[in-house]
Amino acid sequence: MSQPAISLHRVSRWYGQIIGLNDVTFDLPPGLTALLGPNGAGKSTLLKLITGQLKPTTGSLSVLGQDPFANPRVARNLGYCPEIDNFYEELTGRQFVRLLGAMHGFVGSELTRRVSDSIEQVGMTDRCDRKLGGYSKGMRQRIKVAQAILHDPQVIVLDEPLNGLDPVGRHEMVDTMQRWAEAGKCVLVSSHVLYEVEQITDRILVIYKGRLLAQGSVEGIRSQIDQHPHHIRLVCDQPRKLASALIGRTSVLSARVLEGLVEVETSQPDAFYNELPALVLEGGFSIERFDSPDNNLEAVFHYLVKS
Amino acid sequence: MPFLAVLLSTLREAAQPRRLAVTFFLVFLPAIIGLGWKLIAGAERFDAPEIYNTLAAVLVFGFILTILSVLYGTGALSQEIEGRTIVYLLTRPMPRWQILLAKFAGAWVAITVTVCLSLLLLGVAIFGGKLPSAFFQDLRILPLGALAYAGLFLMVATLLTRPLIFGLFFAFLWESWVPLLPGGFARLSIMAYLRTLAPHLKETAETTGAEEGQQNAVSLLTSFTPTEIPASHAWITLVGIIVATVTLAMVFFSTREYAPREEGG
Amino acid sequence: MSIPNTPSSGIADLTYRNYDGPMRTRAARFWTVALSVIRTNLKKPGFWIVGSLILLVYFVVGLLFFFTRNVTANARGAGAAISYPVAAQLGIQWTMFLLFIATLFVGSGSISADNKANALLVYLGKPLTKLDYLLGKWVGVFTLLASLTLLPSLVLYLFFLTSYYSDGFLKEQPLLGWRMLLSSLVGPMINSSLIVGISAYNKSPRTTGAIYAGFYLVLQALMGAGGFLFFRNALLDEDASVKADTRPAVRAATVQRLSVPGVVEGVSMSILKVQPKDLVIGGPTRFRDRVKAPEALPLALLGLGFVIVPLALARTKINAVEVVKG
Repeated sequence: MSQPAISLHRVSRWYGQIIGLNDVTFDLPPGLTALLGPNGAGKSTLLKLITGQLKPTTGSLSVLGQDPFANPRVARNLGYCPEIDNFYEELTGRQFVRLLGAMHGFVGSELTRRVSDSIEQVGMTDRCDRKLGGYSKGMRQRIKVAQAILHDPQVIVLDEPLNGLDPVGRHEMVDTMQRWAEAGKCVLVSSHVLYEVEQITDRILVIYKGRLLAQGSVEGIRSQIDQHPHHIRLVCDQPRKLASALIGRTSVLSARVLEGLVEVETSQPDAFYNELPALVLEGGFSIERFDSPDNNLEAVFHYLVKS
Repeated sequence: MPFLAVLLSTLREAAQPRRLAVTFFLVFLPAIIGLGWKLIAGAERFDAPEIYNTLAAVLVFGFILTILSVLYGTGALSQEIEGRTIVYLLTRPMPRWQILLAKFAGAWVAITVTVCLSLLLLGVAIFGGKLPSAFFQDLRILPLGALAYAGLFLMVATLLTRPLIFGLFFAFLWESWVPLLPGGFARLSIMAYLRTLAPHLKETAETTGAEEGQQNAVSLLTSFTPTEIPASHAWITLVGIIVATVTLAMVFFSTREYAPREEGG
Repeated sequence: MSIPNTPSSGIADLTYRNYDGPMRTRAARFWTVALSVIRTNLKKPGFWIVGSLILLVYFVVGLLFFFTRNVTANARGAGAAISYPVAAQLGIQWTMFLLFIATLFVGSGSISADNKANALLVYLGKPLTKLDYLLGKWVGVFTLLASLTLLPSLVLYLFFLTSYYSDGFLKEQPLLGWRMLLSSLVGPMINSSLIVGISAYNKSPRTTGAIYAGFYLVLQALMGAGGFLFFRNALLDEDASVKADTRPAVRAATVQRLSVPGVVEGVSMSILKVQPKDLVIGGPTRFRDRVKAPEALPLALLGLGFVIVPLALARTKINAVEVVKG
């Protein structure tokens, strides 16, 4: 795809005096991207803008090169799984998906096939003929996803898709989303649960109080947060000796000795890792293991939000 | 085909057991009252045209048509918005105006079938097998009235968050009282135009005994349109109302935002 | 700590909660719910709009009273003026539909919105019984509706008192204040009970409003038509027979009022001691005199039924958890 699937340029959205989204710009290529932010950050506003339910107050956005607001051409290639838990309760799951599929213009055996395939993809084949009013939260979530993918869209937008799913269901859903991404679709998933996002993808958009704080991979974002040095923990046999050897290095800002380990602060993690093997051999240290407690999404998120 | 899917879905909602029960009740109501009237009045006092005119004017046109138009006309959209299922409609590859038109068509069919059946049963209850020309006149006017009222309430539903209250206000306060005001105020009422096209609904029949009391009672019920409106004006105005309200409704629905509010984020 | 009135339902059972501190009285519990209903609805512009319209109608009634009493009394004689109770009754009757609209605004979502949001689980998980919850909702809706009828009645009464005190208003109508107070409460009591009862059975405020409107208007149309039929027959029978028998006309007047607005009208007429003929302003005298007052007892009993039955049904319906079949 030559152009990004979803493109926002300086988009803001006001609700009266309240800013829902504040000057957001990004381009999303095909692949799986997670939209991360706490409640009230503006995730749903962003998704509603992308799916054509809302218009931006300022700025412009395009989905597949077109303005999505009330645009059937965009809707033809876009699948949306909303967060809201409302349905036509008197219909069965199959009837619900079939109705929405009919609104896409599918008829007859084509419609039947697509309905069956999408229901099967979400694992609801054996339960789709019960009324929606009697579904559990997880079942309702699956049916919502089924209606979003029935027409094999190029862009799939999912708002909190793992809500209400059991661990097996979550695993299956994550696998499914990754398969869509591998097939070349642009999949945008929103969540406020950090460990969930870590399971889903490495590509994130971090949004907070209506602002886009960061875009990219977790590592890439982490490496750009200069004012927050990396912490690296080294479990070794001679922590004090190791600490005094490290402290002289220019890549090390500080070294702290703890029970059986050394915790190092560095603003140049790459340089540090390059120097470490030679230093260890020189000093004859025995390193049992090392890790970086803040090279994860939670730490990245907290750094971004605090700054 | 998508249009048909939405239309059939709207009709399916109208056929829900709860709604169907109400529909049946309204279909039979005028006929039951007509038969009751026959029973209470007795053979010598039973004037079929007078009773038909009164019940058709007051119950079928003045009540069943209006209340169904309010409920279905506003409900075509506001039920989706309040139920927060509008998001599924708005994210389909159907032009919004088409979605609304399909919902409107479904509402109109539901209203028209109910009021026409109601009128038919009333006619059969009062006249038996020989239905007069006035009945067929009413049968032609009712769908037009349903279009006009439902179109108006649909337009209101695209603009207001609580269109049901406006609808009840209009149907049972405005339509009852405005035509009685002096001057040309009747021209602000849809019912005035409908009664122009079915003038027998304004007639008072000859009575036997208690003339003054009966005339006052009957004329009280049928004196809704003191202003004379030519039939051609009535046709043009009603068609104009239908076209204008439905068009405006489609324009508003296509350009305004109807996203349901989320619980959290 | 002993808890009085422990109900049989596990959800509403207060005894297992590990709280040993002081508990507020039952009145405080239901009043908390009522206060929340009141606060929510005071923020709605629709409530204030309807309230203003009701005040406007009472203003018109006051003007009418003033006009007939002061301006036409000399021209046509004292009989042309409307009396104080008749003015009060006209105020109630002419604002009946507005009260109906206000009931829709205020009461449609009273319980149905909680059903929709599954908030009953939260409410009944607190030290709150079903009765507290239901009473709170009813008191909240009733208070709001009563404020819309009591306040304008009070303003009208004060107008009478201040303008006609020297004409012997208090001597002529010593109990009118209490009668107006009582009659103003009939409508809010019936409307609030019906809407709260219907609301308990629905998950959508809109559906609640539609059902309540349907019940209100259909019953009014049905009984109005029935009453008209009986009345017409009664008039014709009166004309045809030698001896005047007013019982059919009374029966007709009663049947005509076997609906929500009819009961409110009939009961308030009894309280204010107003005759139907006094309410026909203008028109031929012969017809006016033939309209009889309804029987108060059937209307009062029906009114009581409108209050008790919906609330009793609502109490059985209110549950923390809903079991969905199929």
